[in-house]
Amino acid sequence: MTLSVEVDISSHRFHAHDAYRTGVRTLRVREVRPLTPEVTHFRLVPVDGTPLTPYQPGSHLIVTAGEHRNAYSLVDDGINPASYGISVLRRGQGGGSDWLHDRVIAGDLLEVEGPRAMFAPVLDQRHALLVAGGIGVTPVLSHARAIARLGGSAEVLYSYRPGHAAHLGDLRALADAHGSITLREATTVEETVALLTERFADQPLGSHAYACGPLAMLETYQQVAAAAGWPRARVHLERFTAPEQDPGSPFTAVVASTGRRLFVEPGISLLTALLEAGVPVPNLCRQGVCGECRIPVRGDAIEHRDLVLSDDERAAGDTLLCCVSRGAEGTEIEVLL
Amino acid sequence: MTLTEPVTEVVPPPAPSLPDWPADPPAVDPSATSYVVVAVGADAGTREVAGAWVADAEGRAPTTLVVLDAVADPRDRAELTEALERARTGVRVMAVGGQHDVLAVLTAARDAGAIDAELAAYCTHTDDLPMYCAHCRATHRVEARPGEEVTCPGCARVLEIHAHFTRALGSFLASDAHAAGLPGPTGARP
Repeated sequence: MTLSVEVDISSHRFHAHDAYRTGVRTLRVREVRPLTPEVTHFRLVPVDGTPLTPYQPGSHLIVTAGEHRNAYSLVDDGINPASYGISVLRRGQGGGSDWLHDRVIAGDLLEVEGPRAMFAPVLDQRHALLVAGGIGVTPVLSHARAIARLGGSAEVLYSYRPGHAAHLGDLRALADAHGSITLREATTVEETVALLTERFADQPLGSHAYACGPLAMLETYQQVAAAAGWPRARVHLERFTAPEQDPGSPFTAVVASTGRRLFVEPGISLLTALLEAGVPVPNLCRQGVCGECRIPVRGDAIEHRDLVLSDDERAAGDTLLCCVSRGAEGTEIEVLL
Repeated sequence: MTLTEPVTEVVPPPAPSLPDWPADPPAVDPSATSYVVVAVGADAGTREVAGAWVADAEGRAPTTLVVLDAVADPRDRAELTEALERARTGVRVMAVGGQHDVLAVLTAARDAGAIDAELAAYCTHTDDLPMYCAHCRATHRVEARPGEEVTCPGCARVLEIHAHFTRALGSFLASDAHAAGLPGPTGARP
């Protein structure tokens, strides 16, 4: 006699209370409100009145938008939320952002996952310097709101094009209502660089800096921070676009559970090679930004090309983001899956 | 399944949390935009190291030299606190003196928000240390080393100084050296 019992734990809720739910679920769109000609704010509420999961400031929600699954920063303080707010920039490239702009109206249902924290504040920070460029204002607003609510202090630098500044009113109102939050604005590249240089030079000991914005602004942000003598551990950022990657070198991946050897050619990512070999790997952005496809590995020659892992995590050499990172030419990486 | 090879347990080397002092004074970090050099005590070695640091740092960025007789002195303490409060992120704090004083300065700097990347220190000697008594719950300066026994200046118990340093308190942990032989709550000896 053979007795076989199959238990499916994929739908098991390890934390039974609704306020712990972060899996795939449906929320109702309560409000769709244009903030600028290209940015629209969506406010999502539970369909059945159950509580929403709280989140760390700077967290994002994954939204299924037609064919795409995109990550959008949540804009509130994250403490005991009654709704989730995301502000979406229309990219105009037929992607998920366009779908949300064109197809979604109040009352619709959206499939979401998360929230997930990839840009959380350092908990023992004495003060925060928050830097936003364009639509990068969304996680910065979340940080500023949480700091205001918890009684901390922060200086917000917002770089925007006049007439295209989402949430500018919210930030001004926050600064007016809280003496410990100040807002400085810049509307040109020159002003932004000057403001960054001036403000990085005058933050109290124990400050941490956070920035979200276009790549060029984040480059400047890091350079100014380094020139101002800030240790890297104090300088945090979140990217929403990634630089173009070169095809990379050929290498071999060995799947530890099966011993199967996968030859990964240039131009093919380790993620693609694993998926084609039937090894399931959760993934999302496929450009080394979101951290979803981080897998455990063993190997001496890893070329880390992601924008997520810290220097220490890279040096440890025991994980990589398989959508962009690879083995060095001709080497072998053991994938612990 | 048969075991063909003996299983040996791998025991990691003991990793005591003792301060790891550099043998030579560390170099001035050139990436800073200001410096606070804190020298505690009047011995020649301290003056020499502080002088060399200041000479190097002054050529790079604004530098504040804080010279203290004793970190426990309220006026000296206030001077250190004021220098740390004035400091902006981008500063590097460099401390030199005996082990007890250097640890007290580093603890004050951490309390003011500094992280490891912003701190450098050099000990001219390790004859004394800040000791936290687990019984009277205070930190005292004692002239002893980890593993030795001392009489607590606070509660007069005989304490063993353990090879355990905690940054949160800026002290070595010490506890009653003879607690195992003390009578229990019922008066029975173990």
